[in-house]
Amino acid sequence: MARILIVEDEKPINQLMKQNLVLQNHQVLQAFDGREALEILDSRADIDLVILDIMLPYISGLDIIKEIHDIPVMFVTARDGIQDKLKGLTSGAEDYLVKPFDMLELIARVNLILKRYKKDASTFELAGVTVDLVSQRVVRDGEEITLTPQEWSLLEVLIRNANIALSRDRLLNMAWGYDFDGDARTVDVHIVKLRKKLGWENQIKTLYKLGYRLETTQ
Amino acid sequence: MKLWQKIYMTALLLFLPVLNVGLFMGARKIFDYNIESAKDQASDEVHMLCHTIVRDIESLPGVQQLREGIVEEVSQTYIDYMANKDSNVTLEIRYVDVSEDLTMGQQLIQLYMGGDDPILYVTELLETPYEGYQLYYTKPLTDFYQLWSDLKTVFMIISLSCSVVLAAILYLLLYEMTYPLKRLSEEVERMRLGEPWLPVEVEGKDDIASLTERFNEMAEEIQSQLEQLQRENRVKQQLVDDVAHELRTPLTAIYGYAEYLEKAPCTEKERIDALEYIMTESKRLSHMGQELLSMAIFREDELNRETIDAEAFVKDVSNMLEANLRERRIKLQSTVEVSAFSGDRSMLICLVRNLIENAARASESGSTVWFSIWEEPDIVCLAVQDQGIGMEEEELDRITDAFYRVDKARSRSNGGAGIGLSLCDLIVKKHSGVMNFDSKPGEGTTVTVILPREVELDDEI
Repeated sequence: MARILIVEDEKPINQLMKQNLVLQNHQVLQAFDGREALEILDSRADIDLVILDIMLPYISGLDIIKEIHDIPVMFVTARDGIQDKLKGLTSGAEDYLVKPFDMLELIARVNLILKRYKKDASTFELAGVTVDLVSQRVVRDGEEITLTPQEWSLLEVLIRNANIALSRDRLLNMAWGYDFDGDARTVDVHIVKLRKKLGWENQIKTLYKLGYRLETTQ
Repeated sequence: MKLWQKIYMTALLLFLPVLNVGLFMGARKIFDYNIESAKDQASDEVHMLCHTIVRDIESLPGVQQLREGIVEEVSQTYIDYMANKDSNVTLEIRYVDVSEDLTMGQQLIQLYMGGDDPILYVTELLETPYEGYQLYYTKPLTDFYQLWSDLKTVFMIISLSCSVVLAAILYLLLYEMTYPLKRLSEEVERMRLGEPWLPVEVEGKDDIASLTERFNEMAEEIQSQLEQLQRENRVKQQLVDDVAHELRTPLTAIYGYAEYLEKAPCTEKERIDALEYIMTESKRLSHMGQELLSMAIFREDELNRETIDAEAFVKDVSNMLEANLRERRIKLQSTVEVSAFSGDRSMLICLVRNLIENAARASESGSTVWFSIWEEPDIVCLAVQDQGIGMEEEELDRITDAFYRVDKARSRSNGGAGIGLSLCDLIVKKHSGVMNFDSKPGEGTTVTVILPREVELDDEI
């Protein structure tokens, strides 16, 4: 999994982003001002992604990005004027996230950048099941399991958003697409099939009122 | 059509016909006069000839007088004489016996206008006893038509040149006189397009000059008001941007942690931390809301001036701050050298509380903050002093701006919404006072508020 540096002076938000990314098995480093961020960047060469606030004490995010080479950067800021966005994106950032943001949005954008830079995980392992996300092969206890395309896309959504509760509607949107006209029961049926095929009866949790969650930590 | 063109056309339309009619009538008069005098001259000449002819006959011896054809003979001399003198004139004597038109001594003068030239006929009967004879005088007025057309030409030339000269002079004069109007309208147009007004030069003291002057004054006034509006607008926009930014940060944390609690499998520690973040950030939001609200209220409110007992005031403030200060382990030491002062009590409490809170935030725990009130002639001074982190000089200018933070990393973790000092600034200005900052990094800050004492205060900010 990827190693991510979060630079954000607001401690609650820094911590929040860290917790969200840790759910995805990412390794997270934290910096609370510009100087600290540059120190970490100087001392470590194994960072895959920097999440950067623009308004930082001592050194601003726009100055820090000039010092960063070969590492993708995503700005996170409360400034949402078009001018601010343009400034952020033209400075070489990969993406621009505006506060307040949604947890799934943060994770989706991070995943997208990591995928683009080929830093995302190619395999996922849980409870004796190995999922190859590139070749789309699933092996359970050395035995290959065949999934229908629909089951596969549902599994991929669950893995990409591991440890986050996803409502049935959300799952429908993410795995079937926005124009799919099915109802929530379609999701239930496929979840049951996945649980059975992968033996993930305990890993895919049903949550009252919330939907389903693939849990990697027991 | 422009004003000067209107005046120009009107003046020309009025003046040119009058000029031309006048000139024409003058020419006509001269012509008529010439005709009249030609008639008179002819009449005199004829009369004289008749008279002379009769006298000549009478001076002859009596026999001769009655001779047949004597009249023609005598007349012939004059006819020849006239023919010599003026080849145009033809003189004739004719016997008509009885004239129907004429009595003796009368003349018949006729002007025959047909044909190429006017012809003047004058006829007169000779005196008794030769009254059967009539003298005919015929004179074509060859020169007169020539004269008339000459006159017409001359007057036409005069009229034309007068008109041209007049038109030109009028044109230049009006153009010159209305030029300031043109300049003014150009400048107004420029201003309409949003360019800055350049004062139009004022010449002379006429209506246009005073209009220009007024315009200059008006434009200046409008411009300064516009600039002020724009300035205020910028400040307001900045405030709105700042408020939006400052609201977003706690909201992001509140929403994010709530979402995390809902969707992620949390450990007990994570759960407690998340709840704590939600609570502190909510408090921060509410505090900010309150400060913004008091700012709005104080801005609108009339100053509720009363006499404030200094001791009680200080006691109230320290009671209010007690819990907060104890938590930070900061000691507040107050000195009161005034018995009473005047001002809006709730506003001043808010002011002093904010200043002391700021001082406490800047100070290390365990240190002291001093608060003192004293008076000098005509003024009351309130001062808050700390031995905290202090500020750089260039930062002092901006500290009353809403949401300005001297040290972002530190002051935010120390709490405070970032509008405390703008609120203080507003309160002090409402009291027509001054707020001074004296600070050195590392040595601490002293804030002194100077309020005028017992004077008529305007409540304007």
